[in-house]
Amino acid sequence: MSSTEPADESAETESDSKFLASITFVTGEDANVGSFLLVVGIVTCVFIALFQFTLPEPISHLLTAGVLFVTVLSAIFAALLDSLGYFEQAAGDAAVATTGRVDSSARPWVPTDRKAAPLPPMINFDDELRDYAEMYDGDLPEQFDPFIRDYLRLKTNTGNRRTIASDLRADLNPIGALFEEGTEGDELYEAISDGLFRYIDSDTEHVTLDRIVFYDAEGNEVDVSDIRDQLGRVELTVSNEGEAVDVDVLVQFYDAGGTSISSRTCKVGTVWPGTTRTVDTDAFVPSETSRAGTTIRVSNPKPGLADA
Amino acid sequence: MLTEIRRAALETRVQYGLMVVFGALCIIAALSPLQDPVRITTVGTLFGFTAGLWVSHLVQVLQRAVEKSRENAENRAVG
Repeated sequence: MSSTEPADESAETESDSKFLASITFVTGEDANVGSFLLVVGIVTCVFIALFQFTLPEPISHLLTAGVLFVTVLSAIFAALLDSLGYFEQAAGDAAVATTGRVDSSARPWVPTDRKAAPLPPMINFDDELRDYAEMYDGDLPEQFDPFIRDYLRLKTNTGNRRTIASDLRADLNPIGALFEEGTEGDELYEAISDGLFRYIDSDTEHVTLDRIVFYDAEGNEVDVSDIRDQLGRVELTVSNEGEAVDVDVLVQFYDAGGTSISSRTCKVGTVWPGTTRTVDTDAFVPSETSRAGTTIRVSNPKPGLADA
Repeated sequence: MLTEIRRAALETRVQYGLMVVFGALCIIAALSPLQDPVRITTVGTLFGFTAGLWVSHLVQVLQRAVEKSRENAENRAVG
């Protein structure tokens, strides 16, 4: 999409408009599978007429058969693309692409094509944008356009969110310039800015171990030193404010001198953005244990993993 | 489709451009006062280029659509 720089965008839009005006004439706005087939049909007719009227008989029939073959192939592709929702997705983005300005509906930051991926809470700015929209009676000034455009990109992408978040931070500058320090608008600006900076920094610190509890064989909550030389159960609660990550927690048992004597890795699995997971596992507590410590290890989730 | 053209990557624009060029040349060749064997060969070749570009473009679009739909399915599973 031509949305990186406003200056580039206007120049590009101008050059596009002449080329696109002629296509719009044929396909209409918000083209769908019908427009696609219509264009294919028109082109088919033009070529068939051309071959039939200008070329001698056996050749014209051969080339007409070729044209019809391509048309049938196009129709099959159109049906496949339609079944994959390709045309609906294209129409969903039409408002942004055709006007050059973001959708002027009440909530322009909500993707219209239902393909949004969940945002981590720290970069979910829906509440802040709603407050801004209320501040301007639902009509956000054009300084918000680049921000909203990149925010929509952020919502619909998962692969390169950190890069988009950096773009979003740059888009925030014209918004910050609109408000005096200490005003409500400035506070919202600061909140968005903080969220973006925290997100851009690192993923690791977004995962926190909220709680670690040891239970004895009867299921009573106990201190780790009370179940020495026994098989106990350890319960861990992990929360994630960042992107989805695979989390393993290493529980280490230390003696009175602070030396690690044993450890147990608890696989927490994939922790999705803004969620908390609790897992428990059996662990043998060595007899010299005086305290337990934990280390969080994160890794990127495997693609297509649908861990519960 | 129109939106796709607007958002199209450079390669897509090149494909459309070449299709228009070969298509137009095909029409011109068909209407030109050349001798039949030369005219037929030229028209056939140019039509082949145009159709080839179009079919390869469709394959590429379909491939992207499949990838996107798979990505969406994964996102829905996450959500």
